[in-house]
Amino acid sequence: MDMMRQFDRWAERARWEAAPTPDVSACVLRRLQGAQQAPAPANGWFVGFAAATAAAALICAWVGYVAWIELAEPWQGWLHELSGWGVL
Amino acid sequence: MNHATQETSPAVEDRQDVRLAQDGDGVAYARLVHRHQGAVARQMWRFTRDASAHAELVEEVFVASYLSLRGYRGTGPFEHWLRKIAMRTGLAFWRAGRKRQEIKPLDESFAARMAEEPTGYSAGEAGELVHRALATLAPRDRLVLTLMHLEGQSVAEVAGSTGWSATMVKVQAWRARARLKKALEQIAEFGSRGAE
Repeated sequence: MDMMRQFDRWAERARWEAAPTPDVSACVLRRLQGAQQAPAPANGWFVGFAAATAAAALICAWVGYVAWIELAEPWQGWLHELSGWGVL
Repeated sequence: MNHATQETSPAVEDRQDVRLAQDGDGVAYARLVHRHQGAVARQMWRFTRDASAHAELVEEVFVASYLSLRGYRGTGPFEHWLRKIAMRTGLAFWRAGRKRQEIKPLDESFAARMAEEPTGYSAGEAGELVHRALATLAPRDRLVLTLMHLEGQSVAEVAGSTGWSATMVKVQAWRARARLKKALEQIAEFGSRGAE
């Protein structure tokens, strides 16, 4: 017996099945109202953490930039001459 | 054109209620739930046949759709958008069930019933049998066969609702049918051995 052909016939019959229709509107609204009323403690913590991280990143970037300038300044003449020779 | 009829069409009502619900109008969203819960319930019945799990799934679909309602741009009918959310919710439900290993193995009684003439049975009994057969498959295989065989969707429609390409849908359906065939043949062989 071709089992897939048989499966197709059963599936064709199952297509017309009437499903139960529960009324969920009251439950949905209750859940949504509950979700809206619930406090969001994680939100304040996240904003603070993100702001602190962003500030730390800015300070690191500024310190890095200043350090690079300080380091490169004595070699500025060398770098300029080397680029003039076409080595760089 | 009759303007009165046009004004009260479900699509227009949906658009108005979606706009109000996006601004936080709960009553408008309740109207949307009331209008679409029958279609969603029919769709979710393909994902579970347990009455309490089914009601929870339908509820879950509407909660998920409310939470992502701001992302709905109104380019297509609300019903189509909702069907996609329902499909994703159902797929997640199957995946969670598979992790919990809630799949009942097919037995001899299943093989005997499958070999019978479907016309002698109700659509509900046929649905139960097909549901059991499809439950042996992995969620993606099960989804593509459910959409094509139980929902009667074409390849293009399945591609539209899943976001897969048409080729992907064809390949997935072909592989799913091959796996289902193997499982059904194994159980039929087991059943015939048992009868001997």
